[in-house]
Amino acid sequence: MNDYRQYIRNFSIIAHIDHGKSTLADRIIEKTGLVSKRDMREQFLDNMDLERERGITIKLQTTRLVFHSKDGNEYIFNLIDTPGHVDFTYEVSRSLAACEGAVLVVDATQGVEAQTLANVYLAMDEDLEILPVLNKIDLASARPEEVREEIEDVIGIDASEAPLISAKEGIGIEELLEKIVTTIPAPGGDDENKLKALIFDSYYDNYKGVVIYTRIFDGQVKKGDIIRLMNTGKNYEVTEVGTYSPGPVECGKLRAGEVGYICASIKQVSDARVGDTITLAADPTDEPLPGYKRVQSMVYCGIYPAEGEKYENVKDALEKLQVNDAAFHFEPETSTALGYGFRCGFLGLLHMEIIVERLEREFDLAVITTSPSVIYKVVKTDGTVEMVQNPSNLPDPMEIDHIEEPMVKADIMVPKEYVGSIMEICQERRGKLKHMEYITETRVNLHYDMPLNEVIYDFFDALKSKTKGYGSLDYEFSRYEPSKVVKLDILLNKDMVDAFSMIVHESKAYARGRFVCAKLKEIIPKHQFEVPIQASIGQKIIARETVRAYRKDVIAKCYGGDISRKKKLLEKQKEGKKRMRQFGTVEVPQEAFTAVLKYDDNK
Amino acid sequence: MTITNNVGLYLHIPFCLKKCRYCDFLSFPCSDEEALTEYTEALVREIRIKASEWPYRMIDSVYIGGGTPSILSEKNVARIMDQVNKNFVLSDDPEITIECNPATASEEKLQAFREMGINRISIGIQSWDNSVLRLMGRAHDKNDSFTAIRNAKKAGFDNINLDLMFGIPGQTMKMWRDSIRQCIFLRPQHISLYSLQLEEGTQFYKMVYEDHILSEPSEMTDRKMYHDAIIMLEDAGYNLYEISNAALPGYESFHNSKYWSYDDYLGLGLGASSFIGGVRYKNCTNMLEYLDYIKKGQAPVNVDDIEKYSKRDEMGIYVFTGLRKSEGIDIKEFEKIFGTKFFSVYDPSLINVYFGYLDFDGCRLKLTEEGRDIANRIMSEFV
Repeated sequence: MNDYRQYIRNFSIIAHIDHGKSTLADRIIEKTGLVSKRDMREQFLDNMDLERERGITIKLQTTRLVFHSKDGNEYIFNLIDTPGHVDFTYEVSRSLAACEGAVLVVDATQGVEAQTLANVYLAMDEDLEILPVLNKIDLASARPEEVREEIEDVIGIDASEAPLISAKEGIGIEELLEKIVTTIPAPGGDDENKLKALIFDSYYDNYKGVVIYTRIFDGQVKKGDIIRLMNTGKNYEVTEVGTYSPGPVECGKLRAGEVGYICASIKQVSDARVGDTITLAADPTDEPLPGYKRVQSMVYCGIYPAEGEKYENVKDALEKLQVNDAAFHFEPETSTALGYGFRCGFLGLLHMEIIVERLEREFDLAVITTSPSVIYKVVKTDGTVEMVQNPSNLPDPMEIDHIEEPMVKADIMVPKEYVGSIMEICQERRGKLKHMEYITETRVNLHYDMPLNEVIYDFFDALKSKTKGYGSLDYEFSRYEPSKVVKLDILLNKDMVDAFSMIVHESKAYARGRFVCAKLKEIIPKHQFEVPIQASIGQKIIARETVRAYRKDVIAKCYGGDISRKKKLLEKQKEGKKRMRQFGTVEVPQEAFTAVLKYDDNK
Repeated sequence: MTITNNVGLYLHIPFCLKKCRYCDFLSFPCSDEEALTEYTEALVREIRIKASEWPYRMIDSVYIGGGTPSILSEKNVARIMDQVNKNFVLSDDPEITIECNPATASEEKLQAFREMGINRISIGIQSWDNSVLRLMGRAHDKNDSFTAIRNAKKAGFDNINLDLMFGIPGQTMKMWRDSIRQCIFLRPQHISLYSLQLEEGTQFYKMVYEDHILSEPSEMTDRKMYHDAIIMLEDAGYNLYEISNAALPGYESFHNSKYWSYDDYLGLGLGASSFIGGVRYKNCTNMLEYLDYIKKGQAPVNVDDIEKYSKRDEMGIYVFTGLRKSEGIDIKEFEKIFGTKFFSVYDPSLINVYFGYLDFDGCRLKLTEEGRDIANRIMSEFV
């Protein structure tokens, strides 16, 4: 009766960035003959330009493959992709929840990394069968035996039979596919039960509305059914069900154990939240699937159009991005310095960078972003609590009893020669070392307790730069903790520019103030008058620089009658001025906003 | 267009004895008589070509500039002047200027120039300090300058311009004031003062910004040099009628004024610019290409070098060139030329933004003395 399920394998591939996840996915798709070699684009699953460029997966892709095993049977493989970055832990966990097993790709030249571990723990939390694979064995520097031991020691799973493969060269792929059949369990569930299905991703399609990626655990769903999304409580009529192979293919119904998509005229991705449970409105299941969380933005920043008149365009673009990204949200805000713009919430700094980059690339918009901020818990003297993510909204110091800031548990994995410099940068960022362990003789895992505020600022850049790219980081929110943070303001020509305000720890305020003032001095052009740049905490000035006045801006030469040359020069000057932001009487080039955020190696 | 319907004629001689360290003009060191004559012949042919294009326009100023036009032999200059006279209709009393380098201004040569009808001479003194002249890479020294001016006066020139430069690396405030004093003492009719601009690609630029063996005087010094000079010149009876030109009353350069007054001018020779009949264009700047065009009897202009400016572009040009003049621009004239209200094109608040830098009396808009220091910035608001 439930025969069909024996021939289904639902699995993910998990790996650290660059360990070859996407390449392996490509090979598997190729081997199962889904896409001909000729049509094969490099890294099939990462289909956004940005993803391919950065080598990370942002949006999930899920694919149904048919594999003809040596045992004579035909198997359906549902390969469920996972996003590859620390910002997207929740999404990863939901994708994994849709699977019975995970193929763990470990680079045989590099060994286990922080993210490998993080992902393995997520997979273990979902009770997945983990199938370790050693990749890149074609490289001379591969040391499969050592890495095998490392996996057993650090992760504690049996890696003795881990297939040795090279996704790039196509070595060992066949063996791996057979291994998937034998190792990863077939899905359970019963298609006679009440419908219970997990949303593990969704995207917006201009014609179909929201397309939900789902894994059916119990029951079945077909076109015309009225479904209910249990956490939001809304009902929708199913307009289409199907599978991806890799383009959408409509099918009659989806049954327990299967993976596919559902369209139901849902208008917003945020209505079909990842982790939510789908059931039938007429005959609902008693209990939703466990693990649902509303994603919380961890990092906030202001996004402003570089040219004021582009406000509507930026709004449209943000709306389009939001439709496809439930973790991103925004609301209008105004800044005295930057005018009308938006306060945007992100999962993390990378998520923020991706959104900003997409605005620039896909929508061709120039935007100014303000200093990213975390959410502070402000406990006021009257006992009320306010959550503040915009420095400008910090209540009057007189009303504040104390402020709490979010702390994270950060796991940093580095070759041992870099331990010293990592400890240094962590200490600078108020990190407390909790625990340190040797994974192998040469590699160390450092467990830190750190304020999120310090992590989002420039920690990742610093980590990469201090470890020549070998360090890896994983972090997760742990708790709020009282902290002596202050609001640091920047004044240009005695006027405060709110877009530069930031909340920093007291101990860092002076250094930050000096750094920002010095940076701005480099960037702000000369004016007709002296421009003092000051950093202040409340009324107290803690750093100061001065941009000297310029005296001369004239080309006295006449260039014969070559008026065009002069005209071009003046136009260039005018163009330069356009890219400036006017604050009172002071003009600030747009790059100033990003420049004050950059990690400075020479600091 | 505004003063008369007459045209100014510019003739470019792109040769010099040697390239000065600050120079980014279209000019090549050359002393090969044959080459100079070949270019002269091409220029002569261009005079014929262009004259036939504009047969009815009267020429009321001729300006032979460079480079160093005085590098040409008397014979070649005579040939050019002869052809100008034969092919164009000249007004009764045209201003005819030639630029000279003191090193190439012998008495006989200047005498010959005067006899050809050239009535104004512009001498590139630049500085009266030998150390500054050496540093600039000039081909002359202080004594050559004295001799050149004496020769010009002897030859009968009673309209002499001296070119001076300030803000030169190595030049002190004292050197500059001495140079101005020396000029005033010699009492030429016209004095030009240019603030040195370090242009990329010049030797000076490299020495200052790449090799760091020289440094520019500070902007403050540069401006003090400018303002001090203006006070000294005005005390001596000179009138600063344009941002970098001063003259005794009645001796303002007629030709240069055309550039600032939206008048027509026709440029001939390698890379020369023209604004005539409402069109702006520039001759090609490649010598071989230039000679080739002329050989074929064609105007030496590449299609790309014909500007396609809109009316709004031209308005900007009218304003920024006009603002160079001390009298500034006349809003009514602007409205007559363009048929649009000045303040429907430009934001009236600019007058407030640049209060103290721009002066507007309801009719004329002009730069104040402080405004001249930031002329580019103000002009850029109007382009």
